[in-house]
Amino acid sequence: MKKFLSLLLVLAMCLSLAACGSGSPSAAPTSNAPAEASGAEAPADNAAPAADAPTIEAEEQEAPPAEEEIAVPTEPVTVTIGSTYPRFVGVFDMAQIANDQIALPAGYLAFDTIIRMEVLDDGTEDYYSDILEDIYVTDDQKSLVMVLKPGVTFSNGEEMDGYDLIWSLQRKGSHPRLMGDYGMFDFENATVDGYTTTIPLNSYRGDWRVVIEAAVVMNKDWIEQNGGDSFDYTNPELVCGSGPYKVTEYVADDHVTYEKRDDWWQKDTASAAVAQPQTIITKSYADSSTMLVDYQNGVLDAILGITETQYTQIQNDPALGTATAKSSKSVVELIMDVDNTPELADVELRKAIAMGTNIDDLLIVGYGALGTRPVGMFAASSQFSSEGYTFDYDPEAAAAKIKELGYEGITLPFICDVGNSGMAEVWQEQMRQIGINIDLQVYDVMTCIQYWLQPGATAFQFQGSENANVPGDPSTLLSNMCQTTDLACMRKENPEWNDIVVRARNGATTEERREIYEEMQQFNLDNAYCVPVVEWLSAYAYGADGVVKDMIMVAPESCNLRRILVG
Amino acid sequence: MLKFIGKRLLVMIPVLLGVLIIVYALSCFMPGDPVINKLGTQSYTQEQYDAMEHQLGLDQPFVVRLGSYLWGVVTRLDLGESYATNRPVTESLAQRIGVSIRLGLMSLCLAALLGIPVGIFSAVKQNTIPDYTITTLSIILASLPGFWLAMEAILIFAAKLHVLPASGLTSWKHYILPVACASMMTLASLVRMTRSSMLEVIRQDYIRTARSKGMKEKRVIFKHALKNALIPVITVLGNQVGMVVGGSIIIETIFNIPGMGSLMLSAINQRDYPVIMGVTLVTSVFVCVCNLAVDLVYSLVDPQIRSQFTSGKKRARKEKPAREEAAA
Repeated sequence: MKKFLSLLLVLAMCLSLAACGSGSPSAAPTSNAPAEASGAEAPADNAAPAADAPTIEAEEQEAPPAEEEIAVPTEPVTVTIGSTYPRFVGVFDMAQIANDQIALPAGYLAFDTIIRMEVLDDGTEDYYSDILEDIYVTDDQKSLVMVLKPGVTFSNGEEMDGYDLIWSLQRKGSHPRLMGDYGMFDFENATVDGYTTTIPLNSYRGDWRVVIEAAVVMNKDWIEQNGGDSFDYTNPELVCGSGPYKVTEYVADDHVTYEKRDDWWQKDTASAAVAQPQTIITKSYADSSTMLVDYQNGVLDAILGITETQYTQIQNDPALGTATAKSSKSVVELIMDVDNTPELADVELRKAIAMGTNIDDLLIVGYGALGTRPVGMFAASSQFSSEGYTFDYDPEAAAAKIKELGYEGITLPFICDVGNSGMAEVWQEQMRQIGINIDLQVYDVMTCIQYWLQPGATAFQFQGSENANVPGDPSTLLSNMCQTTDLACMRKENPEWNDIVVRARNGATTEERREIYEEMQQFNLDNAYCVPVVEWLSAYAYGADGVVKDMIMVAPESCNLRRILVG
Repeated sequence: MLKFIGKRLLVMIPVLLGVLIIVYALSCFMPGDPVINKLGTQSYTQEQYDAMEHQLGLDQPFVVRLGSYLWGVVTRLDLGESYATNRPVTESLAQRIGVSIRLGLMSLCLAALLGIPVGIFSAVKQNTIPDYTITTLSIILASLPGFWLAMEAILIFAAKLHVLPASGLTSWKHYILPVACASMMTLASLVRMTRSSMLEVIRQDYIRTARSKGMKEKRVIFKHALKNALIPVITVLGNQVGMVVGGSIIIETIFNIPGMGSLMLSAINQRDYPVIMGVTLVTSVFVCVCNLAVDLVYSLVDPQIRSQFTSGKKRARKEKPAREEAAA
């Protein structure tokens, strides 16, 4: 018996060890391993500056910086990038990528967008397009015109045409996760004349670039030939974009490998700073500590979505490379449910709560070094941002007011998601000090949403108000803090407020919108619908092993992975 | 024996059905809506919601959904498609199950190879310094949270000493930390289980008899005591073998291993019912099969149990000569 058991155990151990040797589905090539792709060539002839390339709306925009001094690596280089963002890796569905700031960076390696945000050589950000010579709305504000560059081809060799642009926009517009207002486009009557595509407009919006920003262009014919509606967007062999990289390996929830295309249509004209690595591997991590250790050990060349502690650690240790923080362009607001919580219908109580909220403490707890004090409802970088729209902290006055109003000792429910639980706990204590009890319950986001949809389930909610677009329009706020939103806790019924929201959405010119947003912030100051809490930053690091020399990003979530400088 | 196996396999059917029904009901009634997860929290119209709900088949009554799911599983082995990725659940499981099995089996083997001998040693040396040391260490090991152990291991061996990798499973080196951390909890329980079981057995009369007959201590322990002491240990090991398929959520998350545990975690977070059901079904099947295997192993270890597997006629035939001899 003893022998039998011993044999059984040894056999099991041997089988397990043998299995170790077999190919693992998670086998990612190690960083900096020479690329195996045949015909790999260094982009030595890519020195033509992008500044010479045609520009879009030249009076407003410039091409990305000329990179003539940039040393181009002569050997193929592999760059491995780690990220804790859950959807960083692996969805090649254009409609999902286009609406997902996290999936977009990876998708942008293989696909081109109609327009996107870019950091220009003067450090400013503006819209830019690789594939268009021009994009504009006609003077009569009746049509959107897009002029394609000649010779833009997909990775299967087919040339991109206007029908691909229309189909891609249309598909994004019909996707349920739609963020922009695609009702403004009359796709039925769109026309293609050579390289020029004209889409009539049903209505005009001043922020039309925000609406189509980051719409990814896919190959209409290819999708239709390979299943149409049942096209497998996770099959790496079917990924067909016009970007500089091709997907060669895809392991769900683990990593994606991108190899540089030898036949990339733009390779002779792109800046030397574009598409330098031969291979880019994007790797997903569930735990940021493990990711940092891999970065320290040279497994990863760059990491995105690092924590505040890690950001500080890397900043304080030159051997760990460069840590950079970029504004998320999003202000977290503490939104009050004024319509479903009877007590919060009282504007004076709302003002007292706003006065009793110490945002300095909240940002330290919630974001630390990766948080800054907001100046108002909009991120400081937004052109619509103006100072003076935050509430002054005065707990004594707040407590006195609450006592005077007779609300001392009331209990209000607060259903908070795990991500904001630290701030919620501190805020709960702040409220206790001014005489309000907060019944705080913390759940995962999916459970929270169920509660947030029910009127009266929660009196408060932390919500990011994103302004991550060139004009700086608060897209999330406009979608959620209005009459039509599904989230009951954020819905606002006040006609005056809703009128401001509708006018802001449809505001034609920048100046008009600036005035409307000022009005919106003043309304908030008078009515305390929400308390701006923190403008948060997201951080990334690179260069610990010397492979990545620079990463030029708009924000880590919407980074441009094409512009990784290696050496 | 075959009849026994047949019976047990038949019993597995209602067990698996029960598990599926309970898990399906719990998943469906827990807070969270996969439709909203697909649509996002941005504004969407009721029509869009209804269309997505219909697409996911969630507009059907619970019983219809359950029936349709079970029918698909039974007739076509169809576990459905993931709500999150639209990929067939079987594909996702196939991609990850090997990783979890490898990791789990290796950690179990390590735990068994270390835990059983150490437990025996501790029992034989009862109330000595080595016994106290082993008992204390095993209690400490059993009390340590798995995530803490894993993070400390990464910190020491990967971050400080740079001798072992922190994530992935691409070479034999990658297995060392996750296997060691995953085996610690089982190791501790095996040590304690083997020790207490051995102590119980070596106090039995037949062990005293064996010793009084002048049998060598090694032979007493390994030939007579160990066989009987192993039965509860085999039960623990058997259950653990069944569970390895489900993967370890903590170990897989910390060591960034794309196994069944991390798949289950992300499925729960996204309310991806088909994936939750798929992982549960596969784990349940393995647990049932392993329980059956454990019962069969009992018969190899213990002749008394073996005799229960033998049919009445066979047993009578075997016992007839003995009875006749006794009568004579």
